[in-house]
Amino acid sequence: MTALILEQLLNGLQLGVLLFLIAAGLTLIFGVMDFINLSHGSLFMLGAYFAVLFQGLTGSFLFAVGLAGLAVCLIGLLFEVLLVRRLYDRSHLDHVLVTYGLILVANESVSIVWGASPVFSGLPGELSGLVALPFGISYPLYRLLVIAVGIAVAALLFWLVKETRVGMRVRAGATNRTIVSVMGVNISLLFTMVFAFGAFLAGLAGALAGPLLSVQPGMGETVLILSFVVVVIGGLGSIKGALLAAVMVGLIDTMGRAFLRDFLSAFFSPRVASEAGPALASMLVYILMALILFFRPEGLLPMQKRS
Amino acid sequence: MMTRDSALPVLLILALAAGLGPLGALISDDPYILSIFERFLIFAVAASSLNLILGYGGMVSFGHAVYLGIGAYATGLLANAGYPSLWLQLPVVVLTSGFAAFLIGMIALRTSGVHFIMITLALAQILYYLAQSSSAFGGDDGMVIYERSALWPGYDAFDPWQFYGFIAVSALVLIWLVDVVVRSDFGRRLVAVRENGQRANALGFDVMGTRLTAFVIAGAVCGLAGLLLANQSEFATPGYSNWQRSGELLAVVILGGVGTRTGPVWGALVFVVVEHYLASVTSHWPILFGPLLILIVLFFHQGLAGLFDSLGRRLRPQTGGGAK
Repeated sequence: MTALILEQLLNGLQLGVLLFLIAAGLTLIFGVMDFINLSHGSLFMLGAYFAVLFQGLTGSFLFAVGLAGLAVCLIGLLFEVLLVRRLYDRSHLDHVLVTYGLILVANESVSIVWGASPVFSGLPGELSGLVALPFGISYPLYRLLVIAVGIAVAALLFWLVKETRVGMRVRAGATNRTIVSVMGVNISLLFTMVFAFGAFLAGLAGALAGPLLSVQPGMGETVLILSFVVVVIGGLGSIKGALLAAVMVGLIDTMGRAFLRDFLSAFFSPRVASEAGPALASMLVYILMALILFFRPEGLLPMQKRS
Repeated sequence: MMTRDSALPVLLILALAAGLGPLGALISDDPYILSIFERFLIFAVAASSLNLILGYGGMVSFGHAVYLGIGAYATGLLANAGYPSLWLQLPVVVLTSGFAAFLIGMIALRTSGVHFIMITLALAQILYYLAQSSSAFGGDDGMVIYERSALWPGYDAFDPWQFYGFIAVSALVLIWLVDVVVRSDFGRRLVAVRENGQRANALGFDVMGTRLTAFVIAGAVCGLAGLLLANQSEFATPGYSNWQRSGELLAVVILGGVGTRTGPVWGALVFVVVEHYLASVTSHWPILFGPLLILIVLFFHQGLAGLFDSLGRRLRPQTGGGAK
C-alpha cells in the first residue's frame, strides 16, 4: 500500500511539474502584459507534435525535445509580433476571442497535417525502463526524468526572474508598466521576450508530455484549463503561486483519480462508489479552486500590482 | 436618455428572420432548411441571454454554455423518465439552470476581470466532466432523447412545421423577455453597475445583487435554450456545455454587436449560415472560421447591429442633436 501511495505521489508530482511549465508561461504573460492567452494550450500541443516530427528526422529523442521547444518559441515570437502585440490595449474579451480563433486554427492545421487520430510518440529504449527506488517501488525512468527536467527548469526560471537584469525588468514590468517604459526600458522588446519564453516553456512541456499523453488535436485544451485553475489558485501573475498551485493540483488530481473510489467504498455501497468516484475525482480540482476562491478571491499568493 | 425604446424593432427583425426558414423550405421544397433555422433561433436565444450579462452587465462569462447542457440534460432525463410535458419540463429547467447560475455567480461574481473569465470557464467544466463520467447521463456518448416536449393534445412534435412553430414562438417569447429586462429599470441599474460599480453603490444600488440577478436570469434563459436544443437534436451530450460552445456563444455575441438589442439575433443568423456553408465546403471549417473571428475582433468591433445602425443613420436625414 505504501508503495502504491508513493508511486501515485510521484505521478502527481510529475503532473504538477508539467502543469507548472505551462502555468508559469501563462502567469508571466498575464502578469507582465495583462494578456490572456487561451492559445497557450495550442503551443503545448504543437510542442508535442514537433517533438514527434523531429524525433523522426533526427532519431534522437532528447535532441527532438529541445528542438521542439525552440520551434514553438519561434512560433510564439511570430504570434507576438504579428498579432498579439496589437491586442495589449484591447479588452480581455478581445484577447479571449482572438486566442480562441487561434486555437481553432491550430487544432485544424494539426489535424490536416497529422490526421485526427492520435500520433504515436515513441520513447527510445534507454529511457523506457523502470528504476528501482526505496520502499520497493519500481518507477518508470522517463517519468523521473520529466520530474527532474521540470524541477531544473523551474529553478532556472526562479533564478532568471530573481537574479538577472532581464528578470528584474520583468518583475518591474509586472508591477508598473508605465514607469518601466519611462525609465528607458524597451518595453516592446521585453514583452516579445516574455511571450516567446512562455511559448518555449509550453512547447517544452508538450514535447516532454508527448510520450505520457496521447498526441492528438485538442490535447492542449484539457491542459490549458487545468493550468488556468493553477494560475487562478496560485494568484494571477505570481510564479511562486503557480508552483505551489501546480504541485497541489497535480497531487490532488492524481490522488483523487487513484484512491477516491476505494475511499468512498468504505462509506457507501460499491455501486455508488464506482459511480461517484470517477466523477468526483475529475471535479476535485475545480471544487478546490471554487473553495479557495470563495475564501481568497485573489488566489493563494497574489502578486502585488501598482498601476 | 429618458426615451424608452419599444420592443418592436427587435421582434420585427426576429420574426422576419424566423419567417425566412419556412419560406426557404417551401421554395426549395427541402424541410432540412427548417432545422438550420431552428438552430439559428436556439443560438439567438442563448446569445441574447449571454448578451444580457456580457453586453449590459459587463460580465465576460466564458462558461455560459453550461446552462445549455443543464437545460438539455434536465429535459432529456425528464422526457426519458416518462415526463414529456413541456409544462413540467419548463419550471424544472428554469429552476435547475437558475440555481446553477446562482451557485456559479456566488463564487465568480466575487471576482472580476480575468479572474471572472477563468473561473466561469473552470466552473462550467465541472458539469462537462460530471456529464462525461456519469453513466446516468449516458457518459461520453451522450443521451438519446426519445420524446420531444409535449405541448397539448393534438400537437405533433415530430411534424416539421408544427415543431418549427414551437421553436420560433418560444424563441420570440424568450428574446422578447430578455429585451424587456434590458429596457426595465433593472436593466438601467445593470448598466449603471457596469459603468461604475462604486458610484452605483454610492447611489444606493445593491451592486452584487443586481449582477447576481442578471446572472441568474441569463442562466435560466440559456437553460431554456438548452431545452429547445434537446428537443431539436433529440440528443444531449457533454459537448453542449463544453468550453468551445461557450467560446462560440461569445463569438456570436461579438459578431452581432455587444450590448446591442438586435445584435445576438444577427450574430446567430450569420454564424449558423456561415457555419453551415463553410461546413459544406470543408470538414475543417474551423480553420476558416478562426481567422474570420480574429479579423472581426480586430477590424469590425461594432458588430453587425452597429453596422446596420450606422447605415440606417446615413440613410436617414440628419436631424441634429447629440443623442448617443
